[in-house]
Amino acid sequence: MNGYAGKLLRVNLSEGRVSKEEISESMKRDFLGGRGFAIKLLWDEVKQVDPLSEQNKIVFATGPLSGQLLPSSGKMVIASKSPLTEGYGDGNMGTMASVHLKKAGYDAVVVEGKSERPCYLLIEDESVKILEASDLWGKSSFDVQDLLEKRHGGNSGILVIGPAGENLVRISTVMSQKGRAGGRPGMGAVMGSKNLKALVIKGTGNVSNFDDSRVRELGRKGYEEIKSSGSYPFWMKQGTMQAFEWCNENGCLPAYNFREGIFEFSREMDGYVLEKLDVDRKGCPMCNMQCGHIVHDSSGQRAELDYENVGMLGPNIGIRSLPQVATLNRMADEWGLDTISLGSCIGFLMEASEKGLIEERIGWGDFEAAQRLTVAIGRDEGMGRLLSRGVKYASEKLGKGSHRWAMHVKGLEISAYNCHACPGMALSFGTSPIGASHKDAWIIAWEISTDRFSYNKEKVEKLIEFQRIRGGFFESATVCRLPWVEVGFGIHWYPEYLKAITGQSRSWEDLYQIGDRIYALLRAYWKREIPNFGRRWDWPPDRWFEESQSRGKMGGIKVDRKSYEQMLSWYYELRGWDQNGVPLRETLDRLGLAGVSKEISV
Amino acid sequence: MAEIKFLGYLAEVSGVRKKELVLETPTALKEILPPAFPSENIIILIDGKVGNLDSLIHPGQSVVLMPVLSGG
Repeated sequence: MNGYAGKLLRVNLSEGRVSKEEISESMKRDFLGGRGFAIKLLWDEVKQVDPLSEQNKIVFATGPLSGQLLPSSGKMVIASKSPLTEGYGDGNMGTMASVHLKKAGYDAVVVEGKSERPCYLLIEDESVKILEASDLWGKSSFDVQDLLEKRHGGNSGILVIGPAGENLVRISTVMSQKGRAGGRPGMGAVMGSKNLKALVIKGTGNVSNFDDSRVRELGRKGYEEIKSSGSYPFWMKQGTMQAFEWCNENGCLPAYNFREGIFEFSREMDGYVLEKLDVDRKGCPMCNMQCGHIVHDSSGQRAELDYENVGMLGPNIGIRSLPQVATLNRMADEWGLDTISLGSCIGFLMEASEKGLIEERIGWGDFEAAQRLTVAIGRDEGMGRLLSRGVKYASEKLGKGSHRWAMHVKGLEISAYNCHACPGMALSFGTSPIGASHKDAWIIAWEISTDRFSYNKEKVEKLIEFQRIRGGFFESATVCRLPWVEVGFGIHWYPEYLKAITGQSRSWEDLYQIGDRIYALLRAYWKREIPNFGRRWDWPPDRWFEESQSRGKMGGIKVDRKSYEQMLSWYYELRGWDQNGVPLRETLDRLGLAGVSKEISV
Repeated sequence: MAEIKFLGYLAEVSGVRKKELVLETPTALKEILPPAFPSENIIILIDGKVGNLDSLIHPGQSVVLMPVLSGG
C-alpha cells in the first residue's frame, strides 16, 4: 500500500540485535498505523510482563498521514505496557522524529530487551547503531537534545528522556525538541528501564504516495483553509490557552486539586495575559497553527506554555503567576516529567497537608515547595517517592480516605478539566483507553451547547463518535486533533488525503470500524493484563460524585452516580461490550479479532 | 440592562470582551450583535441556558457567547 515506508525496525537491546520486518498489508488495512500498530504489536508480543522488565517493549509508530505535506501531520505515537497503570499506555507527540522515521524507511520502531549500559539509537536510513550513552545519562532532556544535535546535526529527529525516566519515575514522558512531550503513562520510565536514553533519527528518503500531485494540491488547500478560518488569528495569539477563560467561565477549570471549577485569580493568568508575555511560538512539524507559546519564566529562561500545563501547574496547585507556572513547566520538561500528572501530584499533596494528613506544611500556591517537589519527584527521593508513582499509589500509601480526592482514572491523572458539572466529560475520562486522558473525546463544548446536565443516550453516542474520530482515527493516522474543531478544518479532508496517499478509498464508516477494532483490542489488553479489570476501572474519582464546587454558577452541582452508571451501561451496549466493559465474543468476531476472545476468556 | 460576554475569537469579532446594553424591550440577539457575527460553531448561553441568535434578550439577562473548542 502506498503512503507507508513499509518496514518495522526492531531493536533488541539485550542482544544488540537489529532487524527489519515487512509490515503486512492486513496490518495497514485493519490497524492503519500509530495507536493501531502499537496495540496490535503489544497484544501479540507483550503479555503479562512487568512493565519495567526487559520483557516489556516500547513502540514508536507513525501512520500513513504522518509527516506528509498536510496540516498538523508531524505526529507519532509512543506506546508500551504502562508502569503507571499496568495497562495499555500511549501518548502522541509532534516531533521531527516522526518525519525522519518515515524518511529513513520505517513506519515504526519496536525496542525490546535491556541494554547493559546506558545507550542511544542512531538510525540513519538503513544504518542502525546502538551507541554508548554513559556521558548523556543523568543529563536533562534539554541538554541531551543540544548535545545530540551538535553530535549528529540539527537535521534530525530526536527523542529523549530526562533524569525522571532514568529514575523509573512512573509519571515520566518522552521528550523532543525541548518542550514536545508524549507518553504520559510512564513511557519515559520504560525507556529508562531499558537504559535507553535517546533515539536519533535521520532519514533522507521519501515515502511513495499514490498520487503526489494530488497530495500537494490537497495540502495547499488544507493549509489555506486553516489560515482563512475566522478563528485562526485569535488561535495564533492564544492557542490552547483560550481554553483558560472558557473553562473558568464554564466552571470546569481544575482549581485546588479539582475542588473548585473557577479560579479567583484567573484574570491574572489567562490567555490575554499570555499574549502580553509571549516572546515566541513553537509548534510541531507540518503545522501552521503552532500552539506552544514561549515566555520568559520567573528565572528569566525561555519556557513553553499551553493550556494543560497552565491549568494543572497553576490553579490546580493555587499558583496565580504565569512566569511561575512556566518555571515549573520548564523544570518538568527538563526532568522529563508529565506536567499534567505533576500538577495533580502536587495538588494532592497540598490537599493532604491542608487536611493534616502529612506532617509537612505545604500551602496552596507555595511556589518554592512546588519546585522542591518537582525535583524530589524527578529524583524519586524523599517526599517524591510518595508521588513518583502517581496519585493512585500515593493515596493507597497515605490512606485516610485520600483515594476519594486522588484525581485519576485507571491510575492516570485527570487532565485539566473539572467535571463536577460535566457528566459526559466525566464519562469520557472514565472510558479513555489509557486512563484519564482528554485526547480521545473532549465533549464539554458539545455538552454545554446541548443539555449540559443531562445523562442521555445521545450524549453517549456523541462521546463514542468523538472517540472514533480522535482516539481511533487521528491517533492512528497520525495527525493532530486540534485543526478539526479549533479552526473548523473540514473532517471531509481526511478520507481524501488517505485516498491520495495510500490509493485506498476509505469512508468514515470504514474508519470508524478501524477505530472500533482498536478500542476493542485496547480493552482486551487491559482485561488480559489486569485479570480483575472491570467496571470500576471506568469510574472517575469520588470527588465528582460526592462533593460539589463551593462557588460560581456550578456551585452545588455534582455528578449523579446512578445516572453515570446508566450512561456507562449504554456505553458498553453501544460498543458491544459486556457490563464489565469487556468486549463480547461476537463483537470481537465482527471486528476480525476472533483469536482475542480465547485469551480473555469470553 | 443586559450583559453580554464574548469569549475567544468572538471578542475580536465584536471588539469587546464584555458589554452592557440598555434594552427597553426584549430584542432578538442577532439584532444586538455585529452584522458579520458568526452563526455557526458558537455556543450561546442566556442566563446559563442554551439559546440561539433568534432568542429574545430581556433586560437583566446575562448572555455568554463562546466558540466551540476541543480542549488542550
